[in-house]
Amino acid sequence: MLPLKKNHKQQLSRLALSALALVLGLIFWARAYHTALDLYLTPSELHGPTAQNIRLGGHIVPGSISFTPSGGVAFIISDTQSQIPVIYAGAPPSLFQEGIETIALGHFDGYTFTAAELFVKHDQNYRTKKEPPCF
Amino acid sequence: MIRLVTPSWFWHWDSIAVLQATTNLARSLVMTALLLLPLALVLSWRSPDEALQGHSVLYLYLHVPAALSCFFLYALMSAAAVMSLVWRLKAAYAFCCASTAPCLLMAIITLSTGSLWGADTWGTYWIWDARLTSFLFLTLFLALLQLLQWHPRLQRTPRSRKIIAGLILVGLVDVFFIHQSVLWFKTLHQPPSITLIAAPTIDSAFLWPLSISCLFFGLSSIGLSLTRWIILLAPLLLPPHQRRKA
Repeated sequence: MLPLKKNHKQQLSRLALSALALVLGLIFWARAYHTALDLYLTPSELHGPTAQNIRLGGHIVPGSISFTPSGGVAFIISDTQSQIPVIYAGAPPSLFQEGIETIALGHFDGYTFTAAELFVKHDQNYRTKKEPPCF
Repeated sequence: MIRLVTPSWFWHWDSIAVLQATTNLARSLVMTALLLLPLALVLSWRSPDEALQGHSVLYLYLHVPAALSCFFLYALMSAAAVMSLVWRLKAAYAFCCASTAPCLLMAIITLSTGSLWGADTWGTYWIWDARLTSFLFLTLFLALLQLLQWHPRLQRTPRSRKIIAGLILVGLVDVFFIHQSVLWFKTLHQPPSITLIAAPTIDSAFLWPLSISCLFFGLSSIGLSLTRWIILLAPLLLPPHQRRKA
């Protein structure tokens, strides 16, 4: 269909080589710097108190949610290795529930994580209401 | 936007026959899309609530098809860019120009529906995680490509065609990065539900409306691109003495 002469082959191989170089460079760069682009830390990655706002993410431990009289919520975030208790003064997002993955923005005093903002992660599973959730 | 000097730049085929075949193809694609639209609407409307997010699952039938069509058009644009760079095909470059705006439209639909969906489920319209930021970058990049194509200094020269086709190929790196971002980094956006290696993690009750909607978005976006392409190349259908320098 299209002619494939010598100069066409040269240009095609040049394009393919530069594409390969770009993609390999991207993969190595991402492997080297992936923690810089991570949105949040998990409880086992968080060591000691933090001065400024950081994001902490993980699953909410089932049975750990308690609503405070002032309208806030307290719960425990876990990543199977370690757990950190979180306090949030506002109303949580609508998907907030036991077992779900959540991300809190706030600061850690070494014992509790005080969240200023709270986000809920949705996982890649889509189920109808009839089946019970599998966590 | 593009000056078509002689009909001989096409393949070895008769360019008028190719254009007429493309016109018929675009017409049938758009007609099929229009026939699928009521089916997609009815199927989405009748789809059950999701276990966690309830009614918000309706955004799935807009967000995912728009994103897939955006990547589909970008892949076609990249193939056309290679043909423009290697074989100097002006028709291929014209396809790049014709597809930029539909691709940008799909990217904007993806961003806006995703943002509304995020407000419903995540609790925020926007967060600077790897997936959202790299997709915003692609959208801005497509807008830049469109602006460059309109730029008066970048018209009708081999060099301008080389610059824009080259930029399209460089943008492929970001498309690859968008796909990998949820696998390489911790993000608020979830990893893909439909992959080549595993069964989809979406219940079949949601999968049916989703696939019909994907077909509708894909067919209408390629139909839109082809129509714009035909309009760019239409002067060829006129006899030489009636052709204007477009």
